[in-house]
Amino acid sequence: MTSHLNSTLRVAVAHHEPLIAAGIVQMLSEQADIHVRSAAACTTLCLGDADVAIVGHQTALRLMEASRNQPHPALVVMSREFHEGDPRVALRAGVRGYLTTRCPATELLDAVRSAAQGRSFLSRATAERIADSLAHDALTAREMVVLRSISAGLCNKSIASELGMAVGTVKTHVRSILGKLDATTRTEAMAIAMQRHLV
Amino acid sequence: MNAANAVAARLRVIVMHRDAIVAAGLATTLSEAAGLDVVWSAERGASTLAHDTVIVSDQKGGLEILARWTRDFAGTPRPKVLIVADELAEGDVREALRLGVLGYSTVDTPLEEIVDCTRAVGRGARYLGERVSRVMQAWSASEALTTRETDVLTLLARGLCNKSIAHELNIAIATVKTHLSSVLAKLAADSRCHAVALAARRGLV
Repeated sequence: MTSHLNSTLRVAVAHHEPLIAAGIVQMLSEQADIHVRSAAACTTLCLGDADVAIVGHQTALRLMEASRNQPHPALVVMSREFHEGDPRVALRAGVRGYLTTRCPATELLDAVRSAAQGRSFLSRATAERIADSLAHDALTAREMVVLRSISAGLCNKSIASELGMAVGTVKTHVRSILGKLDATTRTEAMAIAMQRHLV
Repeated sequence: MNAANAVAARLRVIVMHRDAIVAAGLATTLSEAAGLDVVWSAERGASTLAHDTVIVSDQKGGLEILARWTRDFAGTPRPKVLIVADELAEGDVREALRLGVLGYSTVDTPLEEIVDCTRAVGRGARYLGERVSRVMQAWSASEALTTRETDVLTLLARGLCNKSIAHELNIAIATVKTHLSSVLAKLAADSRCHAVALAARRGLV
């Protein structure tokens, strides 16, 4: 640990899953230079004067949206299961760290200390998933919506009326999805999407 | 908590969950509950097979313990295993119960449920978490797939077309179609793609 960091790091844990929150608090409470407390994640105000807050994915997005231009703690997301695009969305929103519940204690500590210093940190599992996604063409936001509709069992016609677009447009999106996923049928595309945690 | 009970029956609990954060959460939660003596262990030695102990583990770890017991210690009382699973998948729960797991809950559960589950398993009772039993009930209401239907669904989930499935299983295309319409009905799926998504979420393939 660097010697100039002699002040205590204040960490608020506001994860929505109690078991995960308890585990994070337990792990951080063993560190002499970290003061950790549980918090409700209602607003950034609840996080008080914390340097770093650890929250779930959705909470992070909500807090970043609500705290624009206001001082707020650096946010670290602790995610149990995430879709391929989730870390990117969170990082773009201003989140500092992205971890999964499978990460070892060392990664949790690295993430907290990096975030406190204004640096970003991805856990190994997150970095791997992002690296995998770079090997493929990314689906557009519209294509993702269509893919989710297919996974819910909707036919082209239902997707068209649901999304307020022409059936021809849906077909164009589906063709593009198949191309990007390197699939020859919709079912194959769905199989690949499930494997890659796209939906 | 009844004080006489607490004195009479202290329960030994070994937490050996794959995920360090979940393990830390389980160990803290259970240590704070009355009447439980918690050992936090990463080691999966034979001592964990004691039948007077509750072992709290993940899906894979819990099944490994029971497999080892079956292989090396069959005839002795079965270890009491509580699985706290990362995700809820029908196939996983069914397999766990079939192999003798007593308790099943999920990581996203309230802390009280973890404590209740541990105490019940300690008494040798079967105990499913609230969400586990609710979801299993909903799934049980639908008819189980036959082995052949599961074969067809597995290949469908790999992205194979009817013709390839027929070729792979050495059956007629018409038979594949019959199996698939039965699979769709049983899963209440609106399309082949829907069936693939549902099967993956339920852990059927």
